[in-house]
Amino acid sequence: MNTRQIALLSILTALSVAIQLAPRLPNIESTSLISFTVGVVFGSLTGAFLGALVMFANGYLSFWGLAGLNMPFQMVGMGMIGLVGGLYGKTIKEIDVVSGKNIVEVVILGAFLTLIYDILTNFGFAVQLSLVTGASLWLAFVGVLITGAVFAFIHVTSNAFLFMIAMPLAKVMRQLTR
Amino acid sequence: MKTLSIKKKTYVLTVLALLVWGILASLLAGYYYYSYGDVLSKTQKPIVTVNIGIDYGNGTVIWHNGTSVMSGGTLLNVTMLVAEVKYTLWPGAGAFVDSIDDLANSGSYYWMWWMYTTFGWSQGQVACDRYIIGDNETYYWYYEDTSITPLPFPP
Repeated sequence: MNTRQIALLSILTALSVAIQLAPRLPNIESTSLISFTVGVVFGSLTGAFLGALVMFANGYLSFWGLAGLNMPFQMVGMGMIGLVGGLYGKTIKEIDVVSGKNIVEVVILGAFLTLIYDILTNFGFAVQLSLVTGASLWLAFVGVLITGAVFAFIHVTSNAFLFMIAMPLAKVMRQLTR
Repeated sequence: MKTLSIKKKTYVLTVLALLVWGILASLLAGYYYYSYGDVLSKTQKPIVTVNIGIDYGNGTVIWHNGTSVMSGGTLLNVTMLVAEVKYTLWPGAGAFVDSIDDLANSGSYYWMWWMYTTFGWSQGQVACDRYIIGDNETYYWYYEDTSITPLPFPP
């Protein structure tokens, strides 16, 4: 990894943490986009590490309060998005060429990964709820999934739109670090 | 994915897109089914009676038991009947209570709302102006230190 790459990754990590911590509408975030794109450009391990690190910081400092027991689930979820970004990057012959086909693929992947992230973090929240209230874990999980459905919808659709710029962003990152 | 042919890749992505659509649509259907049933059960009677406790975080707790309001009202509506409430409306999220009876959020101390359920005290999952009150329900406004995890329960 060269100096430019390290500098860019540092800036992107700081930017992601800053956006996560800034007051914003619930479930509209850019960390998924950045983790995925970093995965595409720098590989699965880097994308996964960036995503997990940002969620670790977010777990303690978030505007919405401490993540508590949900933090490991958030870290795994965001790490998974970076990891899949790296795997997707391997299927592309040339990152510098952005095509409509790539954008559509990334939008679908982005929506799917966001939904998996939401299911995972809802499960984490249900574990927390179950421990605190003594309710059955599966009952709590179904309850959290249903009551959080609108938030999941907002998250998935907003990320589907945001992921439209993932490949152009990857192209810019590649050019900056050459 | 590297070994997938274009046809297989298209097939996989189509399945993923349908999966996202199917799961999201099912969750939303479940949400609206639940919400409809909840609102319906809470608006059976024209007047509902609730209990509201306000804990100022300094040992003072004032209970407003047997507060009666028109059904269909929200927790914010009923709290404003028994206390002076200042709040900010956040687009998409609802009302965020800034102060109750001139005691404002400060540092890590915020006004949080709780409800008594069959499992004991349960933290409010939505903004207070999004929660439709039900007959005989008990709510608790707790001025508490939100930097503690898990959040301290009402005493």
